[in-house]
Amino acid sequence: MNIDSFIKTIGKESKPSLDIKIEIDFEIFEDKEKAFLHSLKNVAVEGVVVKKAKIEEKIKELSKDYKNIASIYPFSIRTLNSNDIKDPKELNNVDLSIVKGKFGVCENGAVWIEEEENIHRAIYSICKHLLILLDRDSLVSTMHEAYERIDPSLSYGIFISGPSKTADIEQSLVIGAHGAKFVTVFLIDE
Amino acid sequence: MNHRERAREFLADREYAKWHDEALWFVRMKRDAAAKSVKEWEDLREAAEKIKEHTIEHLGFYLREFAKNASKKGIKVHFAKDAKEHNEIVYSILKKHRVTKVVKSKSMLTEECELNPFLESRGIEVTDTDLGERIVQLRGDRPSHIVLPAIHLKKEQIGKLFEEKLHIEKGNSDPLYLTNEARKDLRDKFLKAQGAITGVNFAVSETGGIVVCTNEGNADLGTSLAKVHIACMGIEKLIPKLKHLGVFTRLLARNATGQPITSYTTHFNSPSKDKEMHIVIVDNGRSEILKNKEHKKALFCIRCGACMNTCPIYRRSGGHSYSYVIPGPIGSVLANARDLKNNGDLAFASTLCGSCTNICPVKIDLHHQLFSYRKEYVQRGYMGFKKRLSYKTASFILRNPFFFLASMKGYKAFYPFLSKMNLWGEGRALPKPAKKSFREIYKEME
Amino acid sequence: MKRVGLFIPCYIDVFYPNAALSTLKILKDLGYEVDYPLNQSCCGQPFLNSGVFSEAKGLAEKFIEIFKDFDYVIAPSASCVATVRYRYRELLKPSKELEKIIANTYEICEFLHDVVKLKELRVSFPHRVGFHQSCHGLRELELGVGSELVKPQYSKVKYLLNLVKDIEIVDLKRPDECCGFGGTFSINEPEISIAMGRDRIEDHKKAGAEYIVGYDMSCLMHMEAIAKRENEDIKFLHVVEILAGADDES
Repeated sequence: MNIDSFIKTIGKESKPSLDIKIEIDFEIFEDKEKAFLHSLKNVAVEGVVVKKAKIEEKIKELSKDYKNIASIYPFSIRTLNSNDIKDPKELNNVDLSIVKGKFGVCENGAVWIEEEENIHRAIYSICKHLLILLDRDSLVSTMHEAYERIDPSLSYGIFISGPSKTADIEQSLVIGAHGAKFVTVFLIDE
Repeated sequence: MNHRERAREFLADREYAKWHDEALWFVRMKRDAAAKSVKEWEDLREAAEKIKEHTIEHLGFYLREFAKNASKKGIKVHFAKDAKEHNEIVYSILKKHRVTKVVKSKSMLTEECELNPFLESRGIEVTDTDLGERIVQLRGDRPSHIVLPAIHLKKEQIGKLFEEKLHIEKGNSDPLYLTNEARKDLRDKFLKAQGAITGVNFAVSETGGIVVCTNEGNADLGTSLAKVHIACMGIEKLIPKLKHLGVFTRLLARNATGQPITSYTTHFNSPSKDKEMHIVIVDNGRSEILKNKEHKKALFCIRCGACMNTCPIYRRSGGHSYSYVIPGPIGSVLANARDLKNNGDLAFASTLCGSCTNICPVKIDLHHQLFSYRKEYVQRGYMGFKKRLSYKTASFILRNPFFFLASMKGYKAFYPFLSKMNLWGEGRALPKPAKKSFREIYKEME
Repeated sequence: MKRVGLFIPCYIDVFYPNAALSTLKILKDLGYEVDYPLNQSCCGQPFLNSGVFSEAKGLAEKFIEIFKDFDYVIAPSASCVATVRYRYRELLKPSKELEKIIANTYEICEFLHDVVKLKELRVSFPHRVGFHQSCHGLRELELGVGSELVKPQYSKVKYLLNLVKDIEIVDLKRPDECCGFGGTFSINEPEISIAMGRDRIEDHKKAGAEYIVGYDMSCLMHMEAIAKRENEDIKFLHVVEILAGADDES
């Protein structure tokens, strides 16, 4: 069906004269880092504050049992620049993915990831372990503030709040349904 | 069979029914804790209601905006007036790309349109990837809940099913083990699929993009590996602006399962490099609901499933006791909107307790909706003759003091006999008249 | 002196005269002139909730006719009051009399709380009671706050119960789940209706209640009918019976 006849059956084509007025007096966390780390714990994410100079060292510690480490960033430890491969299915054996988050949300432990340079969106969900690097100062209190920070012209972005999980069998929470079984967030201290 | 008959079957196994009730009540409790952690919760509900109200009052406008913005981003937008058109569009896209294997994340719309059998009969293998949906798919069953599709099954039943279908070890029904086995099986499906179908939680007019929320990451894995992504949505999924997601992402997961947000909240605003992305926008009767002043609120629904978890009827009769693809209070409302004559029993499958209305994140007046469908059901002459006659008789008696008093006397006189007849169900004794009615005592006092 | 018209739903008249008597007594003690018009029967609720508006209309008209001259109409039944307050406009032509009745019809506990503003009571009830919050009183009349809502919790009826000396209100696992009565629902879907009632009774019993008390006798009637069939050792009272000084014998 074409758009015109489709919309005709729906009607309601008038342009709204007023914007929707929404007034919500939402919570602002005073100690954002504390609130964020608390939320991370609640969604089964390990959150660690890491000095900028120590990033590589900390990643090494984290990945000592891992063979395949993918990232689009040139960490010495990476074994694969995921942007170099053609078919994302080749990422199936990735043990650790290292990505960068833009900001974290205190109320729910979600991290917003929007990497324009990244080609394969699979790196966020196909890996066994996802490591998100996040600037320590980039925390917002709630989702309201979060969306203020997102540019409507984005082409792809994702909030990740914890590892993949399911409770589809008798409401028992199981971590690692399809995507990452572990998520770690490094809060980078400049 | 009507709702009562299916409910009776469900309740026949008292222990099982109790277990089902407790499992869902537990979800309700988690939801309460999550909602109560947000002090501005009621303001959020009000805002969500306002946004939805505004959107559907300008739905034609926002749809056009959405389509325009999506096209600019390289997304192909399709419009389907009904289920048939929807299925055909999806099939034609898959055919064009020579797709033989599809992975699908949760979408109640594709259930509504019965997409799976349509594609399967045309030689396409469809794998539902949400664990709950995969379980019911392997069973040849249907979801009994929109957020927890396999909530009606016990882990032992799932273990048995996996033994048979996935050849796992015998007698192991540990949820962790079962989930891992499903993960292995499904990972293989993800890697082999050429196409991915997802539902849509929100479509943002301003960006031309869609938002998909999952906990498992199955929509992410599916869409990022396959070469073509088809997202299917009803027209009511639209919201005007990106910032409105601030309201909905705060409500959705908390109200659904008690989580602060879903693990993955993915914003698909364009296809990824060298891939295709399609959005199929479906009417399938929704524009009719939109035109109905009294019932258009039903289109506000964001499918959190909380009305099911809180509904004392749903918890004790299970999702399969409802004759519509979506069960529980919102399902009954939508079923009535679609076909009141054949789904009328669902309007009456409620005590009108109002818990659903209180819990609804977009403030749909669910129990009032059901109340008003009852009225329409009778007005349109769908109520059986015998029932109508009994109401007529009762009303006549109540309006005429002589008959009213006579029938009360009759009840009292025949009580010893009547009380043996299980007139009020087997599990209930007939109320016994007092020695003297209030009326009699009052007259004596005067 | 303000004149009160007492509305006693038919089933209370026949099965629970003491709830009606207690309502009458409390109002008289407070100094109201109370009249019980004898030609009354039903507000029409069962018909409305079954969608049979045409049969409810005559009853609603009769209700207005009977009660139009009173300053207040008071009933020991929240769902009947909710019917008058929220459904009559949909059923009847607009009129001054209708609006007057809607504005002045109260559930007895609501009246004691909102209009009388009761501050103290000289009655004692040394028992453990479970308080059943019937749905229409809770979510329509807003006698309390539904547990689904994120609002400051209050309960007008609990407030009144707490004025009673020596009473102990037990904590329920599910403080406001429906008992499954639902008027004609109890006839249309008896299996679920009974299952729901059974679960409520169990919750009250596990919490140690000797009595289940409430402001809607119909819910209590349904639960009592189940308790009787199952030989459960638990008693049922309308809240107003306790407020009026019910003794153990009743």
